[in-house]
Amino acid sequence: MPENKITLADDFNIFNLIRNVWINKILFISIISVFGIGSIVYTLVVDPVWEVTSIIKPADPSEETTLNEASPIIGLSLGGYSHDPVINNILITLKSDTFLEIFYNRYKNEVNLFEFDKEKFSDKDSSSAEELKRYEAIERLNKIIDFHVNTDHNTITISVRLKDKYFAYDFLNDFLKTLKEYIAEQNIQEIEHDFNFYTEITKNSNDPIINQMLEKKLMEKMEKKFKLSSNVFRIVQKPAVPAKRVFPKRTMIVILTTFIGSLISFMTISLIPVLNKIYNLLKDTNS
Amino acid sequence: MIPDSFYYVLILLIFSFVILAWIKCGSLINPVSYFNIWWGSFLFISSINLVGIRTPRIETYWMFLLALSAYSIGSITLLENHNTKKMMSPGCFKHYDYLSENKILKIFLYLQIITFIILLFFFKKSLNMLTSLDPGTYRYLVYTDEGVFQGHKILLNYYLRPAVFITTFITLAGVFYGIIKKRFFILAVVNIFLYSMVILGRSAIILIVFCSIIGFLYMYDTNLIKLKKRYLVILIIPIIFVITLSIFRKSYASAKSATDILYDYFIWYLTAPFTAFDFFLHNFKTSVDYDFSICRSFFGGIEEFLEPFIRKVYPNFNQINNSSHEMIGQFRDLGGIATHHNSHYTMLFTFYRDAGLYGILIYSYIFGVSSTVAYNSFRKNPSVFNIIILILLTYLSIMSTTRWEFMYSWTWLIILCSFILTRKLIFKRN
Repeated sequence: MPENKITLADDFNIFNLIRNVWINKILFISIISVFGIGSIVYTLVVDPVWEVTSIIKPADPSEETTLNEASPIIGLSLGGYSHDPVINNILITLKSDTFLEIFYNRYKNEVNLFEFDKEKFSDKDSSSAEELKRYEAIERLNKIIDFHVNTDHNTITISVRLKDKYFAYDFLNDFLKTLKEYIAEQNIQEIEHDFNFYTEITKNSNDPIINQMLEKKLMEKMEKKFKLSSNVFRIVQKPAVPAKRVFPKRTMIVILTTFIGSLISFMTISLIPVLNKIYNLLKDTNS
Repeated sequence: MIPDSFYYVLILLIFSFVILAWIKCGSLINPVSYFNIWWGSFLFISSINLVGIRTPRIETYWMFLLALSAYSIGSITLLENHNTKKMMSPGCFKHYDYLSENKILKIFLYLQIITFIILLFFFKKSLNMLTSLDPGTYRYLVYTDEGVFQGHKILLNYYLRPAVFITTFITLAGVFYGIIKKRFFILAVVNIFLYSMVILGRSAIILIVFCSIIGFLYMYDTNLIKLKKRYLVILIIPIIFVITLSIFRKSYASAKSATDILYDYFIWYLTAPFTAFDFFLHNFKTSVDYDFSICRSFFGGIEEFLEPFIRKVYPNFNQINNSSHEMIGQFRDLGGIATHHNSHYTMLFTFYRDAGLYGILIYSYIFGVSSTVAYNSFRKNPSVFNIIILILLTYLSIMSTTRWEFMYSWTWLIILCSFILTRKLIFKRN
């Protein structure tokens, strides 16, 4: 059996790359320097961002804390977002524009939060300008307020990222207070419909046994109303004024960028012979 | 909320890398193209939130782009242009009597008849179990002590699974070259179908489909194979099998139509890992929930393979995958249809577990370099071993949107056994 043999010339290997790097050492160092110095300048120029974080523990789902009849059943999600109806309720609130609008109305003139470009609204009538401002403000709030559910511990982490750390701290405290009040109010409004319904029936009923049953039901509703108003969530980790900024992380940015720069530099050097070939080919074709 | 700048950067990066790789190696069929097009497409699909799965944060998307860039830069840097096209012609090795030259491989391929008999035994057992269990529960239990492999875990991990995969890879490459008889490939395919039915899993069949396409494109690009209509017809069989299996498994849990199931689960399977990685980043803190494992996760498959032997010397040895599974094994609700997602957290999970952001950058770069080295080796010397490694690495690079398969022993076993079984190379360089 004759052995198949193919002779192939090595026109590239790692030593070629190192040799090319040595030949193009100025270009190699320049690319790395651009990335390194660029990253240092960037981290010095860019505005720092501070993050204030808080962890809340929603009340356990039970008859006292939820109006949703569909409690989690053997780990199956019924809400499509979380197993826990109380968490679901908080998340839905956090995502709703109606809730965020409260903060827009409250902090409309606060430059630490909303910086509206006045020129942008100058050619608009007042109602259009207001609509656009509301839209932009909610978009901004969605950007700066971040939340995440830890389904292992059933907690929600809420964080606020802003340029002023003291304002961020005050804002998150206010945010948590408002969130609690808002959800409690929503729950109570919902149960009040039931409450009115039972009150109305009690008035119209003449049977003492039915009246007794209805009064019991009313008492239960009153009790639930009280619990719902006070039992929404508790704060596990209180907001605190941050000691370190979250952005820019100077050391990491500089190391990573310089490293990426060196990788790109290697790639560029390895591309030079190919690009030269293409250039010469084009030159020959033209001449 | 995903800013528009993300899409501009994504498109710019993918186009740049694909074009640079094309210029460098003179072909569009290269690891960089596969990786960028696949990753880019699913990053895009994930960001537009098609099936209600929570969208990862923009910071997480930048990490994905960092990994994509590091892989591509590493790959492009070492790409070579070895145009062996003119030296080759389709079927040029057909008359080479490979198996008579390589007795060990021949014995190994005949051993697959035994594998077939063992699989038939487990298949019969699985049918019995399925009369009392629904497919979902059966699948959930399959690798546990109560599953179909109860009492035969060593046989599964050290013979059955590696044998099925290795034979598929070797016979696939052999059939591409025309140096291994088709009956061996058919036996390998029958075994992998049986194995899939026993475990009620689609991954093995998906692997065959993807590897066949990847391998065919590389061979076609090197002028070693011609496109025939019957290849397309053959390819339809495993696809139908995967569809049927998916519907069989999921129709028990859902009243949706077959197309809905396929659409939902295809998107879920390939985009939820991005959200899962985002979940990991925001819920697990370094030095509180886990410590960096440096290189252990990256090479986790070697540990998994050696664990029983290491335990003989160090009884308290605990492989790194166990602690990783504690984090990723639990079923989680990622929103939308992904109500019980687990295990798939993209390759970035493993890299981040090893060394944080630096791990993502360095390991992605090393992965890119490795893929390119395999690609260059194949183009210089299209041997059976080289095509197997190239197909494997390319397949794992596109499947890295789901997880890092080198965490598991089967990938390392394919490399090791392919090397041993196919060490008789077709070509020897002067």
